[in-house]
Amino acid sequence: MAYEPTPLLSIRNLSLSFSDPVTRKENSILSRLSFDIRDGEVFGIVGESGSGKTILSLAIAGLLPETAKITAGEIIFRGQNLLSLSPKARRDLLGREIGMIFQEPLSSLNPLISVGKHLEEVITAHPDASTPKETRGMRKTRILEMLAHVGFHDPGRIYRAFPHQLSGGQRQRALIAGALLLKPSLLIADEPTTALDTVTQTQILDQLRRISQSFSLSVLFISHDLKIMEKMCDRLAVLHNRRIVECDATYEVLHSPGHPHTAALLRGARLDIRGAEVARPAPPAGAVPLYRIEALSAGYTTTAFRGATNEAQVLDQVSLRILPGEILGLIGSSGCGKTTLARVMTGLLPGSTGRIYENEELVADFSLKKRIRKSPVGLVFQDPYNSLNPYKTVGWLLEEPLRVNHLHPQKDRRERVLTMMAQVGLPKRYIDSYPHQLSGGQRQRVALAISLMLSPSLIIADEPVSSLDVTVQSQILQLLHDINRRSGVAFLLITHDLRVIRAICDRVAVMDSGKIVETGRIGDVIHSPKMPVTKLLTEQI
Amino acid sequence: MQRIIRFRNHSIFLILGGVFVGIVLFCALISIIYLPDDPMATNSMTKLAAPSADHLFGCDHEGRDVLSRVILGSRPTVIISLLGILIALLLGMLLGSAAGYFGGAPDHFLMLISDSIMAFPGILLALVFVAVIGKGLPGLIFGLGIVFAPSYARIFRTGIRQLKDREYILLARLIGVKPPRILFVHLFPGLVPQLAPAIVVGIANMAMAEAGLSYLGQGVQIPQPSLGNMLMEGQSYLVYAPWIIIFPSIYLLFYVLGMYFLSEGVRMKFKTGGV
Repeated sequence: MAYEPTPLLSIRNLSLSFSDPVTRKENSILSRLSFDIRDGEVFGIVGESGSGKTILSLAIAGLLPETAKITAGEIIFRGQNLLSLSPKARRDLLGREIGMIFQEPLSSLNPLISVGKHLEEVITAHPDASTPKETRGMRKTRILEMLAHVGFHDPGRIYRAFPHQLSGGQRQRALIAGALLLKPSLLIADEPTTALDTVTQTQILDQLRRISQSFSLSVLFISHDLKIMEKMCDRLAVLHNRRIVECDATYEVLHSPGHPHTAALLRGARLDIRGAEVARPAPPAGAVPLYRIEALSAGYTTTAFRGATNEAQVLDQVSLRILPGEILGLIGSSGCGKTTLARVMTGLLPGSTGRIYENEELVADFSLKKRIRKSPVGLVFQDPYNSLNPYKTVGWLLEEPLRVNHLHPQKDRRERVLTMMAQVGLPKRYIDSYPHQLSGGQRQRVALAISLMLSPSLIIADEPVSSLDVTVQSQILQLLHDINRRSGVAFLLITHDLRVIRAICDRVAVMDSGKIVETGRIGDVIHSPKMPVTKLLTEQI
Repeated sequence: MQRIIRFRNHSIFLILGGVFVGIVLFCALISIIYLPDDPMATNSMTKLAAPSADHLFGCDHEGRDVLSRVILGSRPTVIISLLGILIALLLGMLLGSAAGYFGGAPDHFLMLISDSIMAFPGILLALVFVAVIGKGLPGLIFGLGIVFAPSYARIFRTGIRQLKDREYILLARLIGVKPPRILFVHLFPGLVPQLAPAIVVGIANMAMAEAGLSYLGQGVQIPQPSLGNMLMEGQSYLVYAPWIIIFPSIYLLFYVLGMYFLSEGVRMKFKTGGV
């Protein structure tokens, strides 16, 4: 028999449900989960949003909300069933033996308290019997050591800093330091890098991996991103439909998936789009561009105290051509001005200088009013939760563009709405649904349909898939691709993710601090990037 | 309130409030077609008479039937509080929406007006408006309406400022919706959860303000009865004939407390409804 070490944490037949406060109906979230975490390993749990990953982590930490109830099973930590412990004993365990870091580092920190104070509180909240007379100075030394451990070069400055003075990555590292201060044996990391940009993400993950090894710390790592999982985890469990459908060594899971859902997740992570390989013939060299932007500059003016103005230049002499019927990708790291460009082009942001030509005709006025009448530009936002009015039904939202522009007689409008819903793959029955009754992917379909109602020649999609699950991502990209091929509407696809660009774009433009630094056919840019920024971006994949 | 009673369900508040307010509204309506006795007829025989089978609520210092006067007196309270709130709401909507939607200079100017109204004690300002517009119902309705408007203007302004940069509003502008339609059709439904309880509480506060003004002799004019001026008239006889004051007070209490219950119920309903 093979040697089986005693697990640090083992979950046995854990079932958990939510009870609705009004109807008192039990709603099962997790059903009969069982898995072990061994000493010193990084154990990953992957699943789509809403699969119960976070609730599982809260159950282990003993931080479940009032409405959640564990209906069956055991959580055994070092041979002790946590569920039979008193609340006080569990609280004591949390922090000392089990550390935790969350997705959004800013909301875990009190803005009025310095990082050092936060970390000191971790120590004072768990008085240690072995070192009863620890002075403030000793505590500070411990904290500074830990800050250095998590990769800060100047721990003294970080110790004094307040949360808002740190970047997202620094905050997350400070929180990791806090979670590790008491040398726990298990660290629960719930999507710790999802809110960070890709470069920082890599740094944090490397640090976590290193720390896990040097402290022989077990990590329960929760994420929806298989790419990260592959780098981080020794073993991987796939959570789907309230159960663990697969649990094995990471390599095994990723290279020979034993469950169809795992395979679907893997396909999603690759963003395979059917028919995308069939490249459209390149338009003739002299083709008239649909849009030609020349020397476009824009910025925001904020009025500070006593009328002093603060100008921030966001776009700096941007020039760009969008050809009819193409999908042009615009890629750049966060804050480089991609969204501002989208707002200027749609006319939502006034006060820019430069020239925009539409079919080689100068658009004299950037303001919204004139744009709409001539030729509307569609816009799809990143967050489908914010881009649909929560008080209106899908049918109403889709009809609104026709109504306000007096298009089509009233009796035909519903018919048009149904046709459009079919085109974007929304079943008819959703016509009277409210946005909160739809999933993220369905909302994004509605948002796209609203833009398509006015039959625009260009749709700007601003990070249309980055807040969606991987499997849904590829569905939405497939839809964008199909609509582009079917109706010939051009897309400007804004994203920070080169995989998205590679999946459906014909050409790509690379943006860096307000400038377009490189444009070209997708293959050329990926395989022989000219600029250092592009190289950095291509290394992600 | 919540900490003491801790109802989990909003319907208990809605039912209680509905019953209380319903009683007062029913009386105000019935007074149009039926009154148990002539509320104006003085009678020296029944001066300060205690409650009896003939006069359920007793009689006042002029021998007038208190029950009839209370029923009739609830009419101005209801009319003024409902119409007054309508005026306040309309004014608040205009000022607040303009300030919130356009921002900048209009916002500063309109909020300056609103803040200066708010800086005065409400009753004092209402007295001034009543003096200018004239005593009687129209004066009261407009006076109180103006005094109450700023608090609604604030709700509209903050609500619109929060919502107008939401992406769904940007999208609405992009597909060509004009500002008035954006305000009325796209934005206002989002304000209802904050607005509805504030309106109901406003009705209660307005009823109290009306009673206060009438008590001071600046509201509904004697001999026309109102809950407020009955309190004023009855206070000299408090020791001998407390019923003159007690019954109108209970009436006002029903209306105000009922409205507070309703507003709590509405607030909780929107909270648990969770759009």
